Amino acid sequence: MQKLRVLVADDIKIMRALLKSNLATYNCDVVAQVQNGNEVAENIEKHKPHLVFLDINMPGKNGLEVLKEIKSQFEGVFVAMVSGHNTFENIKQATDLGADGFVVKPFTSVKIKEVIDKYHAGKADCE
Amino acid sequence: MFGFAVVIIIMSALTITWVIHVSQSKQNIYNIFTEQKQTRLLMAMRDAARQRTIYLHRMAMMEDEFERDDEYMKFKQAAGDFIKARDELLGLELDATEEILIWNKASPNINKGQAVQQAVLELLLAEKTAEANQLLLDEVIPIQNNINNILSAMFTVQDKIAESQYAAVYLRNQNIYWVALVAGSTAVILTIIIAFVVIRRTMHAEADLLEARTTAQIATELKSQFLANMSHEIRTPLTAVIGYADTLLEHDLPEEEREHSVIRILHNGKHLLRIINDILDISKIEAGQLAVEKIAVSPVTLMCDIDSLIGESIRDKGLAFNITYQFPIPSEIITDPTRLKQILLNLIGNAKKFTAQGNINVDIDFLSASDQLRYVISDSGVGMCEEEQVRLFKPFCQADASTTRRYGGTGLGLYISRQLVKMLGGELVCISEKGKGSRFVVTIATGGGDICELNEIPMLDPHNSVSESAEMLSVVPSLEGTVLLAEDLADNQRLISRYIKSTGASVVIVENGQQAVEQALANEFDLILMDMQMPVMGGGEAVQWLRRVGNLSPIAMLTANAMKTEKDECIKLGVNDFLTKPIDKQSFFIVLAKYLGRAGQPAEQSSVDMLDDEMGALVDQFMVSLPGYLAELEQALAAGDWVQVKSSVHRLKGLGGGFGFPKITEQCADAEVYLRSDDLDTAAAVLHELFNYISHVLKAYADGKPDNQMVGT
Repeated sequence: MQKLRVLVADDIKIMRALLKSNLATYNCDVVAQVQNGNEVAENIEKHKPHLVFLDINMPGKNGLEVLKEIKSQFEGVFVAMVSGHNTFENIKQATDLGADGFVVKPFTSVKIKEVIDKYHAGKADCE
Repeated sequence: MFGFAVVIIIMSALTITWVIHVSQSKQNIYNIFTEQKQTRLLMAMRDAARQRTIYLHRMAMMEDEFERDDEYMKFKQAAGDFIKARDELLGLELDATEEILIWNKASPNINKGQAVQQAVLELLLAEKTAEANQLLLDEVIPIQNNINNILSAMFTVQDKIAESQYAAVYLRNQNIYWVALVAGSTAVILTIIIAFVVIRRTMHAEADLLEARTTAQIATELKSQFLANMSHEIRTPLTAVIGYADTLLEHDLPEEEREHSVIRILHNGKHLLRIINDILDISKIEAGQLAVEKIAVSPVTLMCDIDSLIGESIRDKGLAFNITYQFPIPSEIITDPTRLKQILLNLIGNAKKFTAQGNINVDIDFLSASDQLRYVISDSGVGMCEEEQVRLFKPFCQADASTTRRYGGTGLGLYISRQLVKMLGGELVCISEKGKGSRFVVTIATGGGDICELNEIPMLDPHNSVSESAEMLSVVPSLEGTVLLAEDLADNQRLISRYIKSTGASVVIVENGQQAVEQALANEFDLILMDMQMPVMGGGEAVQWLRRVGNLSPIAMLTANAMKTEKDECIKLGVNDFLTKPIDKQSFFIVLAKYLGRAGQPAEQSSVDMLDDEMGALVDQFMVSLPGYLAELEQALAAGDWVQVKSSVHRLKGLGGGFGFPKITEQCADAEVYLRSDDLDTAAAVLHELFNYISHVLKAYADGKPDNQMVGT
């Protein structure tokens, strides 16, 4: 099976590393890592990822603003928000903007797997 | 409609043909007229020519000058007539032959005749009579004859033309006559056919209407008969109750008789209650409000329940009671176990009632062709003749009017059973012979699905059978894992979390859908138990949110009204399982075990005891909060706030049975039915009954008799 290309956007290095190692177990290739909200769009343009793991609290544009940007500019990119704030208000805000997944920090690998599974389920539905 | 179209087309064709025919005929008639005019003019010319010659003759013979002048004037008149007729004839449209005849043959002769006549006239005027006469004889007469001949020939020709024109008109008329005759008769026949069809249809419609009216009348009569029977059936025990109650008022009644009266009152009161319950069942069935559940149930387990409920009393009567399976049978069927039990208990109960000695057998086999399970209940009792069997299934009709006196019963059981069997997708028939016992055959649909065949009676722990009675002891499975429980009512939170903890699993409790979403995203759960109705956000919406953000945890929905449409809706949202409130312990553990891992070592027996011990504490807590629920419902009812009433009733329905008060759940369910159909008066009546019952329960509890197990039955 083709490896999934993933972009990870988080300003904390250890989080990026954790995501990367988790993703590697589920046949995913982290093709780009960014630590500033402003850099996400240009990296999507450049690397064409299938999935984006997007932290909400980041320098530059915050995750929700970036989410809005991605959803308006790139069609079919699957975005999972990553946040330490699991208040329903936050979840609703992200989902309303079109987020396809919501991972609460701290997360376990199961949560990452669920996001990947949902991506595959969506793909299967399309086909 | 088609017929009318055909008639219209035929009529239009006829009209067009007629119009064409009339215009053609007009032309023909005009032609005939013209030809006749030609003939008339030719005749005038001939007559004028003759007269001219005659007057000329006469002039020749006249001696007297005046007389001759007179004849001359006549001659001139005739000559004028001739010219006038000729000119008129030439003014008509003539064909070539006629023109030639007139100009080439008639005219030269006429001109010649005119010239000769002129010469004769001049001779006469010059008094040369002899010469004039001579010229007349020699020239005028022959020319005149010649002209006459030509005109006669023309006349003949003309006559023939007129005749042919007439013949054409006649022929055309003849043709149109036939066309009109054929078309006209076709139209008439079609009109008759259409009229016939229309009349027949109208008659059919009238007949249908009449039939419908007759059916309605019969139904009404049956209904009135039923009502009459019903009031009679109700009045009889009621009369006994009143009568015996009356005797109790007598002070000097011996103790023995007093006791007898009380027993009679009790007996008749119970009988009355049975009748009313049966009538309620019937009205629910007939109003289509009796919902049939679809639950997977083991036929063997179900028969074990039946045996435990009635077997002992049959054996006590000195009868043998045998349950025999004709293997293979399905290990599970999808049906309504409550109703199936009601049917079987009714039939077996009847068998017991009408059998004094011998045995009662229940034979069970599987009809693979129709996917039905068959129960044959046979007894060695009194049996019935054919006429009695026909009356058997009619409401309030027992085999014999004396039956009620001897055997009791409402006469409604079999009628209800037959309706219930129909609802379960089968039939109930009776085979019996007077004096040789009866056989009732029940078939019910197995509900399809994957049928795993059972070839022997599985080893059954008598305590492990699925039963609705809350006191039935269940085996608690030993499980490990974490369950998220989203439930807003504290009592249910405590009860369900006790159940969960008794298996060894752990539980996290939240109060509404939003909190459930937050928790489920932040932690891992082996199962999420989601109540359907919660404040802030209900279970359904929470499931939607979870599935939207990619959470795949198994979710079981807790619902107090498990309507199939609602269930389907939930499955679409991503719900994996359902649990009906009030929680049935056994089904609860089955669902829990499905999603949670089994613990390495079996559950300690003490966990069962622990559960039972804790049940007491839970019931205590429930009793503390029950007045609150009651007050809330009473207030809402008093204020006429039906929305609040519905929600309170729904909540109580989900609580009662779980704490050992199935009657609370039952009455709430009844009230819900009426609330849903907007029958508010009946709903209020049921609710008042519920209030009384709850007050009674609370009082009994306060008096230190927490005998909830008894009051539930």
